[in-house]
Order: sequence, then C-alpha cells, then structure tokens
Amino acid sequence: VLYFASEDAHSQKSKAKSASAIADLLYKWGVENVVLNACNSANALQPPTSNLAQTFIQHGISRVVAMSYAVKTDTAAMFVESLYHDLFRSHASFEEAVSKSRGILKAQTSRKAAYGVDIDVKDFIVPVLYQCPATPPSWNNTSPLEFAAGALSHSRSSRATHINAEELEDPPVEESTCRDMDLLSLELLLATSRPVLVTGAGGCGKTTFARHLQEWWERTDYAEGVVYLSFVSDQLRFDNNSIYEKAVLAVRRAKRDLEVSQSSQTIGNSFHEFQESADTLRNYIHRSRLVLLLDDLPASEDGGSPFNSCSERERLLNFLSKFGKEDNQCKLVLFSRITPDIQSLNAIENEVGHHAMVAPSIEEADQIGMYYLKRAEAKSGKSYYISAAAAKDLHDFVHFHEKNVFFLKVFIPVLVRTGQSPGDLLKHIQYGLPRYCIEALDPYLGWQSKIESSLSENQPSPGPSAIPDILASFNQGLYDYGMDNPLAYWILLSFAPFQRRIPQDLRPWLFRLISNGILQDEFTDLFYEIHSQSVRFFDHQAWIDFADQNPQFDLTLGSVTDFLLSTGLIFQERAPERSSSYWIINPLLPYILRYTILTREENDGETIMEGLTKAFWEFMDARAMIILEDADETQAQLKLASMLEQDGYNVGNAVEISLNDGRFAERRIFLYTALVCLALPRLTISQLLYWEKVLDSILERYEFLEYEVPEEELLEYRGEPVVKAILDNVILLACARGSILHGYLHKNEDVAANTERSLRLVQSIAGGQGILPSVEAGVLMLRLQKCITDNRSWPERRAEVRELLETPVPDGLPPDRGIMVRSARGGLIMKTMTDIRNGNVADSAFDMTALSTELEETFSDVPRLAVASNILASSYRLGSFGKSISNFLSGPVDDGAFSTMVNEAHRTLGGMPSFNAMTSWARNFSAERREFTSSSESRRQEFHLKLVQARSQNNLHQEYYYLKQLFNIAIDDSDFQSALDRHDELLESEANPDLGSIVPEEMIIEEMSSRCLNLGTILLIDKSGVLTDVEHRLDSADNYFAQAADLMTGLKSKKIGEDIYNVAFSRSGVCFARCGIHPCEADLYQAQAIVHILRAASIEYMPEVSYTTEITSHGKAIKMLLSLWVQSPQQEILENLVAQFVEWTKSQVRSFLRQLQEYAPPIGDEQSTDLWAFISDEAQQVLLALDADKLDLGFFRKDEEGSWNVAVDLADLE
Amino acid sequence: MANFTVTCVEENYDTVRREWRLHLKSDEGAVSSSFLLTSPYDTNDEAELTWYLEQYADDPFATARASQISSRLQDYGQALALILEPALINLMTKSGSDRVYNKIRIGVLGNGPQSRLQSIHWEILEQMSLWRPTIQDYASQVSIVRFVAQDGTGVALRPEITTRSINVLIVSARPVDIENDVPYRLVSRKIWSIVRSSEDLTSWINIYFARPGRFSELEKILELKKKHFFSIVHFDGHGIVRRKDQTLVFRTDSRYKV
Repeated sequence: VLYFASEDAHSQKSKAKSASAIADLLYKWGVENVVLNACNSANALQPPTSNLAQTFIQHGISRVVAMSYAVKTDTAAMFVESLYHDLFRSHASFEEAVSKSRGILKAQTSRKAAYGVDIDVKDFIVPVLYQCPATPPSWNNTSPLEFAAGALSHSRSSRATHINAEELEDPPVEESTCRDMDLLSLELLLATSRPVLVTGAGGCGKTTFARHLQEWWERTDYAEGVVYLSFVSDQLRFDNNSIYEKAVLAVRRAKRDLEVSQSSQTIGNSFHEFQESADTLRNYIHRSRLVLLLDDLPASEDGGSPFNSCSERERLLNFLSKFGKEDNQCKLVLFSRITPDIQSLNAIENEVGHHAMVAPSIEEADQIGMYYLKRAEAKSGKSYYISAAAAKDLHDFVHFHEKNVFFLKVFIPVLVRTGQSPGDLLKHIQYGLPRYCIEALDPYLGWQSKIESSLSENQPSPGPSAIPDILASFNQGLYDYGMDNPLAYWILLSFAPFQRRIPQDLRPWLFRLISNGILQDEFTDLFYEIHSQSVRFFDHQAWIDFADQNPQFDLTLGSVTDFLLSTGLIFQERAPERSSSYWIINPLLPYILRYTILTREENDGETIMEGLTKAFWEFMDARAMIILEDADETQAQLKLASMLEQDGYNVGNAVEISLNDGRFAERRIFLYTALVCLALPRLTISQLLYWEKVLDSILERYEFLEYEVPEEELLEYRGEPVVKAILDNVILLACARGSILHGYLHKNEDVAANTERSLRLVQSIAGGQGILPSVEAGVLMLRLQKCITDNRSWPERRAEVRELLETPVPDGLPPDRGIMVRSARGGLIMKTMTDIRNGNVADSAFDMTALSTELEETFSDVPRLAVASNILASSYRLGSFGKSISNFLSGPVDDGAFSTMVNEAHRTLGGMPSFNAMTSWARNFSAERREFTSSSESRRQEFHLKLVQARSQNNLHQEYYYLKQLFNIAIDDSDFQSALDRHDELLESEANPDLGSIVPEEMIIEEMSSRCLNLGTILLIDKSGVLTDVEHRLDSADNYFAQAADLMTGLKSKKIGEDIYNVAFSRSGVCFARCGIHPCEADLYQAQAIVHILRAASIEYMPEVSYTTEITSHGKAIKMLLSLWVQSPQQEILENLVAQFVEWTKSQVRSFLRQLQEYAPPIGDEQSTDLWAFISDEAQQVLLALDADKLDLGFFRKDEEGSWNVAVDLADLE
Repeated sequence: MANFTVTCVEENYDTVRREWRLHLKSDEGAVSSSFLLTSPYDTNDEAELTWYLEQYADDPFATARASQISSRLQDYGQALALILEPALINLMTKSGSDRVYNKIRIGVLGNGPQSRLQSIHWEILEQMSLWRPTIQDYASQVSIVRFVAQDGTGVALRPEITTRSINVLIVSARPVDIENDVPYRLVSRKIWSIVRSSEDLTSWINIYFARPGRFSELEKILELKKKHFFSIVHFDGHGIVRRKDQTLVFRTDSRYKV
C-alpha cells in the first residue's frame, strides 16, 4: 500500500491505498512514468508482491524509478535533483538519467550521519529503474517524455542547457525551509475549505511566513492569486466590506492582466459596474480561486483578544462563519498573535481551522536571515557585499546569544524593506535614520502605535505630522540611549563583529552608556558570551584579515595612534581632521570594557566609574601621543594644553620635555613602546605576533632594548628624564616585556633561561608591583611550548613536565590568553600521553601499569583542560580504568576498594558512554562474583549433586569436570584433606583410558601438575593452623612441588611457564622454612632457596623475553649458582654437604638446560653453540679462579690448555 | 558510438540449490548459451548490506564494519561480472569483434511475476572497474534496467502520445506528526527550482502539486486534467517494509532516511 495524507485535517494518521489501486488509477489517466522517492519502494529482498515498482509495472505503468532500500535524505535529494536535471535539461531518457544519477552518487559517497559525522557509503545501488520490456515497441525507444522533449528541442536555443545567474527568474524561495511543517499543516487545514487561524507569539515570524506563503503559493499555482493584507497597515475592519474591497484592489493591482476563468471574468466586469455593492465584492472574492492572507488580526480596544471579548467575537465569528459556510472557492488564512482561550476555541472550532506557530530555533532564524539577505539582493538587483567571513560572523553572532534573534529581526528587515546595503544603513544610523527606515522598524518599536494612541487622546485625527514625530522619536531615542530603548544598543553591538567598524559618533554614546551604568548587566553578559565562546572574532586570522583589508594600517606611529584611538574610550569629539572618517574598531575595546567590569567585580566597593577612570588614565597618556603626532608641534602643544586643562590630568610635562628635547623623532619610539606596553596585558598572543615587526624595528634602532643589554645599563634608563616623566616604570616594564616577547617570537633556544632573566628584570624594574598575570602567563606558555617540542627522553623531562603541570594558570587573564595557556598545557599533556602510549617513555625502570598510574596521578588535578585534550585524557584514563578493573576482577573480592575506584573514575569520566558501559558491566560482574564466592558451600553442594548425577549416568567427562570443580572449591577453602581426596579420585578417573579418549593427554597432565602445585601450596601456606608435624608437612609440600615440576617438564604453554615459576618459587619457600627447622643445615637450605629463586627469576622471564635474553638469564643464573657454591664458607666447614650441593647443583643446571630446550625448541646448531659458548664463558670466569679440578662437575672439563669447556652432550641430558 | 544492448533472461530457478539458469540475448537476436548464477551473498551478507545502507548513518562510528561490507560489496560485483562476462563477450564477438561501443545496456528479465531474479544487486555492475579489461575495451559504460512483464491488458492498450509538453505531478505525503521529519518540500522544491531556473524549461515543463498529498487530491487532480496529461507522477513519501503482509507503509521516523 501507499500511504497518503489523511483526509481529515485533524487526524495525523495517514491513509493507506493499495499499490494496485494507485497503479490502476494512474494507468487509467495515462500516466506512463512514476518516480517513487520512498524508502524500500522497490525492495526485492522480500517476496515480489512487496515490490511496489514491480506491481506498478505489472499494472501497466511503463517506467518506475524507485528505491531498493531505505534511502538517506541527502542521497534522495542528490539523486532526484540529478535525475530531473538530466531529464529536463539534458533531455536524457529515463534509463540514461537514472544511470547518470547513480553515477553521481557513486562519485560523491559522503553522506550525513548521526552526531554530525560524515560517512562514506556506496549507496548508488539503491535507486533502481523498472521498466516494461515491451514499452512500445522496443524498450529502448523514446519515451513520451523524450518525445515531447525531442519535439521541442529544435525550437529551443542552445542556452537551454546553460543557465547563468542573471537568467534566474525567481529569487531563491527554496532557501526558507524551516516552515515546511507549518505549510503542510496549513495545506491540510485549507483542504476542508474552512478559514484557518494561525496564532503565534509576537515576533515568532507569522508575517514572514505569510509573505513566504504568498510567494510560494502564487508561483506554484496553488491559487489564481494570493493576497496579503494587514489589519494594521491596510486598516481592515470586520464590520464593513473593507476586507473584500482591499482584497479586490490588491488582486487588481497585482494582476492587472490576470486572466481569470470566464465566470470570474464576468464577475470582474460586474465589479467595475457595481463597486459599491458589498455583495458583489463578496461574490467576486468567493468565486475566485484566491487565497486571502490576513495578517495582524488586532486586539480589541480593551487590550484583550478579539476572540475573548463578546462583541468582537460576535463580529469575527459572524464574518468567519459566513465565509466558511458560503460555497466559495476562496481560501482564507488569518494571522494573529493572540491565542484564543479554550472557550472561544471551542466556539469557533467548527468554523475555523486552527494552527499554532512556534518561534524558529536559532538555526532556523539564521537560515531565515540569510534568506532575506539573498532575497533583498535579488529584489534590488544589487549585491550586498557580505563576505564569507562576515557571513560566518553573522552566523556565529546569531548563535552565540539567543537575544540576537532580535538583531535579525531588526537589522535584516530594515535591509530588506529599505533595500539598503549594510553600509548604507550604518551611515543612516550614524546620522539619524530616514523616515522610511523608521517606518520599517516600527513594528519592532511600536512608536507609531504609541503616537497614534497619544494622538487619539489629544488630537482628533492622525495627520502627516505624526511621521516627523516618529522620526524625532527614533533619532532622539537613538541619541538618548534611554533605558527602555535597547534597539540602538543592539544595533551598535551587532555592527562590531559584522563590520569590524563602528561609527565614530556612536562611540561616545557607548562610553556614556556604560559610564552611566546603563545596560551594565547586558554588557557583562554579552562580553562574557563573546569572549568565552567566540574568541575567533579577535583571533589571529581576524587580525590578519583586518590588516589586509586596511592597507593604510602600516607600521607607523599614526597607525598606532589610530589603533589606540579606535578603542573609542579616547575619542575626542573635537579631533578636527578625522571627524569625517570612520575609526577602525579594534579588538581592545571589549577587553577594556571587560577589564573595567572585572576590576569592579574583583575589588569590592570600587565603582564602575572608578574602574573606568583608571582605564581612562592609561589612555589619557595615549591621547598625549595623538597630539605629538601632529605635524605642527606648536599647534600640538597648544591642543594638548587645552585638553589637559579640560581634563585636569597633568601628564603634559612628559610631552613638553620630549618636544623640547629636540630629539622628538627618536623619542617617539619611547612613547610608542610605552603605548604598546600599555596595551600588552590586554593583547592576545596572536595580536602580539602581529607586533613582531613593530618590536623588531624598535629593537633594531634602540640597542638598550636589545635582549642582550646588561641589566645595569637598562636600569640606567630610569634616570632618563623622558622615561621618568612619562610613566616612571612603564618604559622599563616595556623593555622587559619586549624582551620576553622577543624571546618568544624568535623561538630562542634557551627560552626558559631567558624568560627567567626577563622575569627577574620585570620584577626588579617594576619594583614591588608584582608581575602582571599576562606576563606570567606568557612565560608559562613559553615554557610549556618549549617542553612540548623538547626531544629529551622521558626521565630527563619528567620532572619538568610535572612541575609545569603543577604550575597553576594565573588568575585574572583575558579569557583568550587563559585559553592559550590552557591549550598549551593540554598540548603538553597530550604529548606526554602520546609518548607513554608510543612506548617512548617506557624503559626497564617503568612498566606500563606504573606509568598509567603516574599519568592518572599527574593529570588528576589538572583543572579544566581544553575540551580536546580532556577527551583524550579521558580515553587514556578509561584505558587505565579498564586495566584497574581487570586487575581488580582477577584479584580478591574487595567491594570497598572497587566502589572507591569506580566512584573515583566517575568523577573524571562520568558521562562518557563507553565508561558508563564499562562500569555497569564491571558492577554486574562484581555482583555476580560476590554472589558466586559467598555461596561456595551451596556451590559445593550443587557440584556434588551434579557429580553424583554424572556418575549415575556414567558420564565420565562430566564426572571429571565436577570433580575438578570440587577440588578447586576445596583448594579455595584450604581444605587439604578434601582436596587430597578429590585428587585421589581425579587420579583414579585420569587413569581410566576412556577419559583419555575425551580429554587430551596433555591437558590431563597439566591438570595433574597444577593440582600438585595447589596441594603443595596449601600445605606450605598452612592455613589450617595445625602446627603438628611441620617437617612432614614441608616434605609433602616439596614432594608435591617436585611432582608438579616433573609433570610439567615436557609441557609447553604459557600457563605452564607461570606454573613452573610458581613451583620454583614455592620450593624456595620450602627451603626457607627448613632453615628455621634445621638451623644446622640453614646454609644449605638457604643456598638451595636462592637457587630456586634464581631459577624462578630466570623462568619468569622466559615467556616474555627474547631468546637471547633467555640465554643470558640462564647463563647469569648459572654464574651466580657457581659463585654461590664456590664462595660458600660451608665449603670448608661442612665438607659433607658440599658433595651433596655439587650434585644438586649439577642436577639443577641440567634441569635448566632441559627447561631451556623445552622453551626454545628446537635449538639450532648455531643457537646451541651460542648457548654453550656463553655458559662456558660465564662458568670459566668462576671456575678458572678456583681450584676446581677436584670437583667433578660433569659437564665442564678442563682442556689441555687449562680452559674450562662445556663437555655435555645434549643427548645425555635427555 | 552505438550502444550494445542485451537482456539477461531467466530460464528457470532451482529452489534447492538457489541457482538461476540464465542466458543473454542481444537486441540483434543473438542468444548466448545458458549459464548458472547463484547470489554471491548469503542471508547474513544481505543483512550486513542492509545495515550498511540503512543503519550505518545512525551508527557512524562503526567504520570498520562498514568498510568490510563495502569491500564485500566490491567482491560481490566482481563475482557477478565474472559470471556474466563469458556470455557477454560471446555475444559481442558474434556482433563483430572489432566494434567498440559507447555503452553496454543490460536489461534483467525475470521468469514470471514470482521471479526472485531482481533480488540480485545488478546496479553494482555499473562500476566499470569490476569488469575485466576485455569488456572495458569494448565499452566505457554499463547501464542496468530491470524488466518486469506486464499483465496482458497493459501492453495492448498503450496509448498514443497526445501532449507535446511535459506535465509533472508531485505528491508529497509527509506526515505532520513526526518531528524532525524530512522537510515537506525538500524534494519537490528541487524539481520545481530546476524547471524555474530557466525560462526555456518553464515554456514546456509544468509542475503541478497535489496539495496536500492525499489520495483524493491525486484523484481530483488527475480527473481535472485530460487523459495522458501527466507524463511523470512523482511520489515523495516514507516507506518501510511491513513483513506481515509484505506491503509498504509510507512512514518512518528516522531523520536520515526518506
């Protein structure tokens, strides 16, 4: 079946029609070609009856394009666009068009997927073409479509296939997509021929939508005409025929040459004759296929809704019910910001369809904004230059604060309605808006209605005089910045990122705005928003762009002046020669403002004015600079004097001195440097980079600023009158900062040392004022940067890395500076983690576990990493957490430790899906295991039951399995006797040849050996607490261990390797235990124990280390063994033991060699030669040093030259 | 250059071995010897492919799985090409071994309405890289069309062409109850824009909308116009396979799918 939209507008359920019914209908009306742009419409994996395309063809349709799978939205859009393009523009046949469009999908495989990810999918196989083989007469003949296309093609010029932008007939209506659902609802509601009421909050976009509807419906022939009328601007009333009158006039106006159908034509003519007749007008409207869009349905006089006040409701309902009941072709849509109450809604629901609109989301608002700009361009035929960067800014701007929808609603409509470019509008705002702009803005400001209401109170009729009042009112408002007039404020701020320029006349207002305490909160909020989220306005690239776009902004003193002037805070209205131009807006402005606000917040009691005064103080010095720049020095001096008088700030001395000094040009550079340095704390790193050249030029010309200049010499300049006079410390501070910056910019090799020196300088020069946070941060960043590129090995870097990461980021930084430092930190952390991951860091002193623990510790207290590094850190932590989990789960049950670990991990990792999954798995596992272990008795019983069952069923394999489980339980419970009983039973069972046919022999031996090891272990550990017969106990344990070792010989697996290690280690334990029992033989046992330990040590390496290392460890073991033996003091004292020991040693060595053979089979000739040579070498060192002749070592023989050589035939060892 | 047109005709299907017996027939009437075809995919592979085409977008981080399926799809295509090649070369040689074609057009015709031959992903063969150089020497393109035989009535009653302009009817059946659904006019607006972008096209192509996309609206608009008025009817809607009765329902709730 195919599902159609429901016949009932209120029902959301779709209506099903069977495929064959539709196919029959289409066939009946001679439709040849069908495109089914719907998922699975040609699904061929299901039975053929579910293949719609096939069904359509079977019912007589000639060609069906359909989808064989669910199809992605972007795939479908791409395919359909290409399909119709090929069909219409290239006159391709269906087959060609489908094949070509598949080719497009094949070539562009990138598709949108969840989480904003793009994926590559070869989904070109999804769209398929079904065709009737006998499409007349042969399947590859021209289709009807092609026929028509072909018939017409000759009459078409060649430009048919080549479209350029100028030919575009329609503005791009398709851009505005976010109202699609509203449109659909409306079309459904209108299908019932009733009037429809659209309600929505003021400003949610009703008018925009209505205008869009008008455009779309008109152009796609939804009706013969779509008329838009506003109750406000067209002064409509319900109580007369004004609606009809206006509508008819609108139709006439818009479609003078409209060719309506014959009947309407008649009525149209009659309309001319009987214009005054209300009925005629109504009839004309009713019988035309029109859509009336009536906007701004007003509130009644008392401020309530027309639906909720009785008389109004009567009138409205009367009108609507008449309209709805009368048999008319016209459709009516009313737009109102007032939502009717439920009672009214019930009353009118039979008469009127209702649709509620909601405000667009930020994204949609953005879309609408861009749409309007484009439309405005299309309408006015000129291009509003909005560069890609500006568009991006606009986009970001809209996104960063919800309030900026307001910006869109004001700025864009003004552009659109007045047809101005942003630049023009800007000018108007600067000099006061012209009337038509204000009229365009009025819906947002409501001045007109205010004036109207005031007029209606005081004056009898609203005359043309109202308009100048609006103008005055607006411009006055703009100038006054009244508390209730945020519009100007918003426009002002909106321009900053949009244009990067600000009209100079607005700057003092801005200053006043803040200094008067108006909109403080908004500013604070706004600047926090901008600078925490949208640093990019002022990032490096923006800065470079800015410089590129302003070629006059070269490195002159004048440019610096401009730069500082453009902060706005030092603007002087009387600055004569610049009054006609725009100052360049610079990124410092918000910083200064924020700085002020921050200062206020940090120092309780300090008012914003005090903060501003402070900021102003600094920039008053800058103003002195402006004067200096003036070509006529006398004139400059005079100006300065007058300004100083006004301001009462006595900074003139400095300037005077510099002017009288006769070295004005050279002194400029001091001032210049001072100014740069004043700005330094607020400059971003990227801006600092911009000043690189500036600083270079300073450094070139003034040696005292050189990096290498001795401190003393630098300090000397304190005495310079000019320095003293300007700002005691500023110039020196500047030098020091210049040095730091210089070091940074030139990537000086020894940055750390130099920065330390610079810091020292700053401290000494700035004298007790402390280091400014930005300088400190700069130094920290340099060091971090240095450390990231440091190629030294981990142990060398480790201390520094730690120290750097423990150094906190200084407080009170400008946000972007803080982000810079934190990012550098993040970089270092990532670098370190990568080092560790890549194994560059791991050496024999560290194992990965230790390192990951260290990593965990190192980074656990790094606060607020940049997002990217945080994610990376989390993934490492996750890994380390996983490792801890796995260690924990294989270790003993310790719920406390587990939950501590999980809680700790939650703190750092909480919210990550993979972490959550892992935790929940671990928690479950842990819970299960707890249950498992806590009920060992019940398990024992269960296994016992099953064992009995298995025996009764004569199931040997199961019996063996449950015996093993019971043995393990006995071992877990340290119940030696039960374990031994089970062991015996198991041995019995293992002796059964039938078991051999089920369980491989090797596995049985492995089981046996591991049981012996377990039995020995519980004997040795002696958890039973029974102290009797310790010696016997030890002997038995050792027996079991020996048995285990014997059994293991010949087996090869990693587990056996571990077991052999355990055996060796346990045996050393036995030896030590014997020492205590047999003090007289303690030495021997100690020696034996050491040999076992050595053996264990060598074995421990086996599975892990390389072959050569294996040999080495064995060789070393032998060497130590021999040394031990040779050096043993018991050699002389306990003669009888020596022989034993020698024997034992020999057997141990043999065992080693055997073991070695087992582990590294086969030992090739070359390898064994190496081995023997090595053992020989090692042994010789020892043996040669001794009189070893009398020892019968068996495998070492002394040759004629007196050298010891290995004399063992490998075969002997077998 | 001419096109080389063949139809891949199903002779029969062995339900036990799941094997088709096919032959190729050129439009010149030459017939190749028959050959056997089994789907290079088993049920699991098909399920994987379905996941790849339909669910991968909802699970975009499963790239390893996707790239495995993608390379399996390539193998599938190669296997299919390999089966068809001998018969194809045979027919091409028959029609003149020295000829070079612009395109090889392959039609696929199943045997009767219950044929499962269309379950093969024939369109994959449009990738030229799958074919061996011999075929690539003959032609630079391959295109696929699926054939379905019509019921007896259909063919005979095929009408004459009566219109010289193209009328396209767009039926957008998007549900109003699904949030984040595909925009109602996403596709229709594209078609409309193509036509409206050129005065030349608007002179002979007309776009009509069934608004709203209801069956009655479709009936109404078809009845309103003359027979053979609409050359193309474009359905824009949702679809999922309902296994119970093996029919289609035009609704789904994924925002990544049509």
